[in-house]
Amino acid sequence: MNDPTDPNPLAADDRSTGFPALRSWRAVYLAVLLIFVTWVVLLTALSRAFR
Amino acid sequence: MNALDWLVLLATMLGIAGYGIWRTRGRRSLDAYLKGAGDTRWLVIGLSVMATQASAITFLSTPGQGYESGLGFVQNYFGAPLALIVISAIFLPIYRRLKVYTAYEFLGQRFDTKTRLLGASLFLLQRGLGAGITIYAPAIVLSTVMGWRLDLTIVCSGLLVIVYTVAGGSDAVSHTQKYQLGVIFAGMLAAFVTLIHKLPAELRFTDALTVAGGFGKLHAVDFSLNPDRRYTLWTGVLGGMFLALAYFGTDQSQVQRYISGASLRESRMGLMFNAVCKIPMQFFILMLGVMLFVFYQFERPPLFFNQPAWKLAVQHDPQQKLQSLDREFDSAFEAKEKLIRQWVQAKHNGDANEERSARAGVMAAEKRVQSIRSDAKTTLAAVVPGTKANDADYVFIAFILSHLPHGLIGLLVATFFAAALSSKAAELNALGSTTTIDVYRHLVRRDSTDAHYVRASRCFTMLWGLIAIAFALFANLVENLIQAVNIVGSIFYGVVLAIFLVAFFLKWIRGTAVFWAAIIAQLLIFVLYWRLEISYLWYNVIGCLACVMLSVVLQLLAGARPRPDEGSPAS
Repeated sequence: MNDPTDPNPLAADDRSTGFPALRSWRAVYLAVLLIFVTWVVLLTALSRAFR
Repeated sequence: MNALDWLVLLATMLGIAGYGIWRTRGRRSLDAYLKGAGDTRWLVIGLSVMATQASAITFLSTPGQGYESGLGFVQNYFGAPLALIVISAIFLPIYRRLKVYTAYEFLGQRFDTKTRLLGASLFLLQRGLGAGITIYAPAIVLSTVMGWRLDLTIVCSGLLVIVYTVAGGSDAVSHTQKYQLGVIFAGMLAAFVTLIHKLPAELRFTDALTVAGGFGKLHAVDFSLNPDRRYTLWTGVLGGMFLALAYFGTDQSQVQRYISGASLRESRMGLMFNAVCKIPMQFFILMLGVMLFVFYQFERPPLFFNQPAWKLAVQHDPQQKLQSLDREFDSAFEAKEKLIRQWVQAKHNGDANEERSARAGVMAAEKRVQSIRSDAKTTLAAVVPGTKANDADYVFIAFILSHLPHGLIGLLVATFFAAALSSKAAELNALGSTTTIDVYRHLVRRDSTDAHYVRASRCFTMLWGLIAIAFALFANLVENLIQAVNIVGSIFYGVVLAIFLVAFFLKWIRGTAVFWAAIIAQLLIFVLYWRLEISYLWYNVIGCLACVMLSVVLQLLAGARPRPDEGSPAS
């Protein structure tokens, strides 16, 4: 029976991200996480610099 | 507002609404009406997801939040990037592969009809309530700006959004949101630039940050583990992630925006666009509020920002206590401003002792100012019973009306209007779709034509629009509008999210177990809401965990045990 919770398989077109430097979605997610962490660090620095 | 402001406002709003109707003319199939033409690119999806979340409340109330409490509210959005990654990796491929119209259709396929209806009902209940609040917020702005009656403003703004949402469906919502967001960004940027330009010439930007920081307004990240604190890193990351996971992953008003992408890749890129842009956007809006705070340290602010309420109270104050407090506020403000200038001058001179001493004086002066404001609020509430003491939602609009040039006032009012219409339209679209697909087509009339369901969807969209208008007419200014929306969401979202998480990750659990677990968990959250004083973000976590654990227990009691291959969504 077809499992409604199985996210695979993906079409070949959907596997590619469209970003030249980030070829897999895993790499895209990692980059997004890094950007998030950078924001938290910058906001913490702002909090500490002006208090 | 003068003629130029009116021209900007009407041209922007009617132009965008007209474009939405024209762009989607002739759409007859259910697919095109509920999902769009299937050619939506990532930028439209990204902007549409952003515009759906960013309602008028975001732009009206958040600067007030920044003014009152500083940047701390940005932590509320820390969970969003994490949640969007999970949705992009797990939820989205499943929704697209099953070609569902609504997220709750998936629950029907995975569990059973009653669980699908429960998910849809919880969505309809909380979003129906939320829709009333989102329509109420811009109505306050417009009634204040134009001196209109509040009820008339609610009805007019509500009817405008109903017209183009009913006419054009999902595609009209997405394509109008693109331009509405353009207007919003232009308006907010113009307000920020004007505000910075209006700060005293001798005040450098770093001085402005020093003043804001001295008052604790730049305290953006709080590492405290105290559960009573509403916004901390932990409530933001954990509670915020649950809230965002539920909102973006299971709320039909969002799901409908991104399942319509031309491909899975386009939908994913639209979500990642939001994962990257959400925190900076909220930071910018809060920073606008913080800069408003700095501006009002050098420019005498009104004692109470809700000026219509203030003027009414002054007229009905026989002892003229309010006027006396206003005069007292004048002298307290002047004394504080002088001390702040001394503080900045000491900083420029590099005199650390003088800087410390002036800063201590400023803080003492601020206590006096706050005490007068508190007295004024108490007096105002006594003179005009029913007036809410919180005037944070009026801070930004008071600045716009008093300090921006004509034309820009029209643009800013258009900004609030555009934000209101964009999120309202997505909500109505989702409420109409869910009622049509999950209730009407599923329970009332199963096999009819596309044209019939499109007509039904239009009727339900209109009905929900009218219900939202009615709800907004009976709403009143809650503690703070943006928080009110999040609190209503948090009460329901945890349980809805749990149903979906069980569906995705715990395949051995069946519909009956999750159905009763959800009912019990939702009742638990209602009890907690009335009996326990904790940050509302925790309701998302508690509701979700309670529902998941109860589902496991009930399923075990029912006899079924997990098999080794029934653990992950990709198995």
